[in-house]
This record gives sequence, C-alpha cells and structure tokens, in this order.
Amino acid sequence: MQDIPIETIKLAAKENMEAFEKIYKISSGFVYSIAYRISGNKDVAQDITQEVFLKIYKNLKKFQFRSSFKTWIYRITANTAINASKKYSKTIQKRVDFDEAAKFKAAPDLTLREIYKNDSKQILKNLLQKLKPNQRVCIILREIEGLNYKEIAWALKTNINTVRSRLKRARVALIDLRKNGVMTNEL
Amino acid sequence: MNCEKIRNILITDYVDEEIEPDLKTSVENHLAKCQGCRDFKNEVLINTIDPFRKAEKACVPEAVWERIKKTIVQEKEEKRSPVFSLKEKLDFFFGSRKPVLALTSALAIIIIALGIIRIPQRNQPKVSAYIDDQITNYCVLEPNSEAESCAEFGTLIEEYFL
Repeated sequence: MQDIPIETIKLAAKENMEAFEKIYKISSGFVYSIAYRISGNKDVAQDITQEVFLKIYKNLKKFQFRSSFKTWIYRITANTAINASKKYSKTIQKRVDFDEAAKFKAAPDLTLREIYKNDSKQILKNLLQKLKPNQRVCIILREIEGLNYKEIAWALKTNINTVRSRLKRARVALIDLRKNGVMTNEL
Repeated sequence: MNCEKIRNILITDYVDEEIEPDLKTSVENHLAKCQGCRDFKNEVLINTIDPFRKAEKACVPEAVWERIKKTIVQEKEEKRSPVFSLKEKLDFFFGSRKPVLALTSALAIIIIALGIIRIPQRNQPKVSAYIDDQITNYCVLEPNSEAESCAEFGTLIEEYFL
C-alpha cells in the first residue's frame, strides 16, 4: 500500500469526503483482499469492507499517529473480518458446499492432479478455510500482505510469540492437509 | 542444536526472514549436513509458502464505495434530526456512558444511606422524654423514695454512705 499523506488523514478526520475517498482508493484493495481470504465469500467480503471503512470514517478523529496508519487499518480489518466470518460461517459453508457440488458435477472426469493444476485459486481458498480463524488471519497477513511479526502482533493485539506459534500451527496443518490428500476441491 | 529445534526455526523465523544472522548461519550449517532437515525445509516452502506467492489480489467492486458514501450521508442526515439528538442523549446517559450512570447511582445510595443513619438521631428527643416520664412515674409509684433524690438521679445507697 502506498503511503497516505498525513494532511489527507487529517482532512478526512474532519469529514472531508474527497480526502476520505483518497484513503479508500489506496487501501480498499488490501482490505477487501483480507476480508475475502478470511471469509471465503465475495458477498461477505463486500459487507466487511463496507463495515471497515465506516469504522475508519467514524474513528479517524481518535487516530493519534502513535502507530502507522496502515497497521491501524489492518487491525480494524482483521478484527471485523474475524467477527463477521464467525457470524456467517455456518451460512457460508452451506453456500460453498452447494456451489462446489454444482460446479464439479459437470466435470466428473478431472483427475486430482488436473484439479490441483487448473484451479490453484480454489485450492488456496480451500486451504485457508481448513485453518482456524486466528491461524488463517496470521497466514494471510504474513504470506499475502507481507507484514512482519511485529506488525501482525500489533494488528491482532497480541504478542510476537503468539504470532509465531499460530504461524507454526497453521503451517503444520497445511503440511498435514497435503499429506492426507486434501489439497483439492473436496466438500 | 538438534533437528527438532532446527525444524521449529525453519517453519517460522527462517522462512519468514525474522531470524538473527548468527542463528541463520547455524541453521544453514546444520542443513548442509542433514538431509532430513533439508527435506523438511523444502516441504515447508512447497506447501506453506509457494501456494500463497501465486495468490492474486482480489478486486473491490465499485458498488462498495457507493454504499459507503450513501451510508455516511444517511447517518449525517439522521444526526440533524431532533428525534435522533434526543435518542443520542438518552443513549449517552443510560447506555454508552456507564460511568455517569454508575456515579449517579452511587450518589443516590450514599444519600439514602445518610438519610437512614440520621433517622434515629431525630427520634432521640422523643426517646429521652419517654425515659424521663418513666422515671417520674417510678418515683410516684414508690412512696418511700425521696422525690428529690429521684429528681437528682442520686441513689439511696449513696446517700446512706455519705
């Protein structure tokens, strides 16, 4: 994410819509990306993105530049996405199952290898959904957003050792999934 | 360092480049000698790092910004209405500002407690008057008792000895 000028942030804090739109354009990409990776559903990700930016708009006055603006947004995004994901998880699972069943009914002859080769996006989505929410968010912030341990710890309001522990467990789980042959589009 | 410790470092700090240079050198020296740990490192890279390097950034639909703008405008208009301002004040007092409610409740309890403590003191003159009446009645009922000593609250025993 490119840096947002402090003057833009201060203007947006005074409810200047143009300044707030600039903030939105710079940061909405990664907010939506995190929301989508955590929830696994595009509609839910849009709701989460909307909620995050409304929270940013209401709380900009309270932001005192003690941390970086980017990690402040990451914190709001991660918390909102995890809460929303838990709330919608049962509904989402039913919808994903239905979509998966409908999709793969038309292609029964694809081998496991072909599925893995041709649909890496879906593989990635399934991998992430197999992880626990707190492990999933750590992997996303580390591997997709490129945050370091300190930034992840601040975003999740935890300490570096907890981040390290969650990353380790997430990666062990991913290795086990591969060994058990779950790197597919299984329901 | 044993293989277990090396693998713990490989799966976290090493692949995330959060490792100190000296420790990194120690790990790489071990990897040069240990095939099992080299295989483990490759397993970590292939299964937990590479899949995410190919991850595409998701694109936000434009409709999201329109919804955000609309919500902000709606909330601004709501705040201007007198009904909303009254609701906000009530929320402030009863809901969102708990310390105010707690302080008010605490003050009320203190005032009530002080009121209860003071009630017996107000009744004391009545009690004193009752005791005086009983003493007078007692003196009247006892014909041998001297009225003066009753009035002075002296006892017959004291007077006998004095």
